[in-house]
Amino acid sequence: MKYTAGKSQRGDIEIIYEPTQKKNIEIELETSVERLYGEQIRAVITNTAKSFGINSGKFSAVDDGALPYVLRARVEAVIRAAKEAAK
Amino acid sequence: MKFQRLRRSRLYMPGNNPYLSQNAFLFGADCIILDLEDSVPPSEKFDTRILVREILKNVDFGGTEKTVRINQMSSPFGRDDLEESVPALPDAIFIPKTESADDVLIVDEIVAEIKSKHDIDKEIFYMPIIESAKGVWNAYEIASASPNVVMLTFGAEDFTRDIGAQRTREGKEQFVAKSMVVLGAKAAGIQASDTVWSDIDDIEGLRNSTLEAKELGFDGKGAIHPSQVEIINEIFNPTHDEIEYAKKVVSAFEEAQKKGNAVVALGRKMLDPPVVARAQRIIELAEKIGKNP
Repeated sequence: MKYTAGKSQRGDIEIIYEPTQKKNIEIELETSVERLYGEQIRAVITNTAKSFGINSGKFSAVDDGALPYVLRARVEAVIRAAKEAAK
Repeated sequence: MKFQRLRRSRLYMPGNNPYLSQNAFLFGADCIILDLEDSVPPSEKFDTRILVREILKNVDFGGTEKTVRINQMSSPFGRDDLEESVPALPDAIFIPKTESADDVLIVDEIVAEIKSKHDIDKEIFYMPIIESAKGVWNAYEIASASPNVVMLTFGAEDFTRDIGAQRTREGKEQFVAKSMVVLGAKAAGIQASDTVWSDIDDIEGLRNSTLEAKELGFDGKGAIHPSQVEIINEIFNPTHDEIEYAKKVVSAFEEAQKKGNAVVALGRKMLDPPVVARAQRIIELAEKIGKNP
């Protein structure tokens, strides 16, 4: 099952989260600011996931200049949706 | 009348568009509404309320009043909208399709619960949107439902549908309703804000509709596009002549008070208390917009 939040629109990021059986968080990121902010974006995704107790799964993200709080909101949305579905 | 902040324009921003919201304060509106209702499709309600919470917490709105329009409490989304947004401390909540005092009291009760749970002591105001015949009929009861109701807002689109009328450019079908919303609000000592002008390209229509709103007694008007804000603000600003006359009235009033006169006069004209109160309000407005050096 995949969970999506956000859109490919200016200032936003589209995130697809897929829970997996692996023991790590995998991130596939597409962004025009990879060289400058790629690592930071990955860190925000990983840290937000961990703050919700998620240590595994695949995140596919298409970024169009999302600020950190937008990233956090979008990651939180997919994780909460996944948790809700798992109940 | 309670202390009232300047609310000439309120600008709707779709809650699901982070780019628009992060620059919203630049548009000059007195009030920004992060919308969770009509501009957000049901499939995006969940994601959007999380995003709106983060916008409230992270975006600097300057002196602009930051507010949220929630979904109706009778929908599956209203309560969750409050649970998510109230802890992020909006200045006010727009309550859509309000038809009775109970519609306000339900929100008030849930907001009180959330505030208590999160130890919040900030006052959060309510701005009910009246957009049905029943709501118009109950305008005063809605306006006085809670001390935290600070403004009534009129919504023409749903209202015209509700009464089975066609929405026209002239707006005759809304005339009585608008007046009743103004009367309900003013009788309760709060502000009233007019419906939005939905045709972004019709500047003349916006101007006429805003002038009419001011004549009817509204304190402001809604905007659905940043380009509408300047026109609305300009019309609701007091004019130079209004400010000059208001200064004379207030100075005559102060003079009369100093002399212990019960009657206030300007030249040979006697000034009733409402005239003085209106003049004081104009000066207060002028000070807020920097037109009274």
